[in-house]
Amino acid sequence: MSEINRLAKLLFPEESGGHRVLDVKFFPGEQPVTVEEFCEDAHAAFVQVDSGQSEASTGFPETLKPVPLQRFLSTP
Amino acid sequence: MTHKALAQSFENLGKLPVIVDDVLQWIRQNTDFKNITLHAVERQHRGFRGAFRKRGVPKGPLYSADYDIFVDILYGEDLSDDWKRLVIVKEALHVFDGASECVDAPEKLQSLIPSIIDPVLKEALQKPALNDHWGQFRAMAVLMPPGMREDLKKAVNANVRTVSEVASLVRLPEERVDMWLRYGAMLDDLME
Repeated sequence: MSEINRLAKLLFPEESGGHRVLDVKFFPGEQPVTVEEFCEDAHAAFVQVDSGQSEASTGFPETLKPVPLQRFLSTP
Repeated sequence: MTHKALAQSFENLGKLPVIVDDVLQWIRQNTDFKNITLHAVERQHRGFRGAFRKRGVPKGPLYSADYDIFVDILYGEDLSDDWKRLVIVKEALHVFDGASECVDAPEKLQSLIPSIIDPVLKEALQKPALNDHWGQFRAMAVLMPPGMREDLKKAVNANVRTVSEVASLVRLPEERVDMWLRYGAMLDDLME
C-alpha cells in the first residue's frame, strides 16, 4: 500500500464508530520531500498523537512579556 | 467571528509579541472550538512543520448526529520557538475555514498533499490548498497585526530599527517578518 493510501486510511477509516475527521491541513516543511516521504512522516505524526506518544498540552507556555509598540519604537 | 476579528483584538492591545496562549484563549472564548490540544511530534523528513485536524465525536450513542468537535494541532518538536509560534497559530486559524475549504474525504487529501509539497502545484489551487497557502499570512496578521506592522515598517525604512530587531520583538522567523513587512499591505487586500 502506498504511503498516501496508508495516511488516508488512518485519517478516514472505513469503520470509525461514528467518529469523523472534518478537516486536515498541513504547514509545509523546510526540506524537499517526495509524496511518499511526506505521507510517511504525516502518518507517523498522527500515530504519535492517537497513541498518546506525543507530548500533548492545552497551551504553549511562554515567558514573553509584551511591551507597548510605541515604547519599542521610541527607545532604539 | 473570523481571523480578522482575532487580529483586530491584538491590534487594539498595541503590544508585541502576541502570546500564543492568548490566541488560543480568544478562539476558545469567541468560537465553538473549546477543545483544542497541541501535540509536539517527532519528524523524520522535515516535509511538514505542522498539521491541523478537526474531529467530530458523537455525543450520544454510536453514529449519533450530534457531535463534539475536537481540534488537534501538531508541530515539530525540533522546530525553533519562533517557528513553533507561527506554526501553531497558522494551524489554529483553520478553525475559521468554511465547509468548502475543508479536507474531509480521502480524495480531497489526495489532492491537497501534492500542492503542499510542490510550489508549482500551489498555483493550481483548489480551495483547501489555497487556504493552507494563505494560512501562513493570516497567522502573520494575528501575530503582527497590520496597523502595528505599518508602524514597524516605517521604523525599518527610516533605519530606526532593523528587520532583525523587529523579528526579535515579535518572536517570529526573520525571513517571514521581512516578507510581511515588505508585502503585507499588498497581501491584506488579497486575504479574505
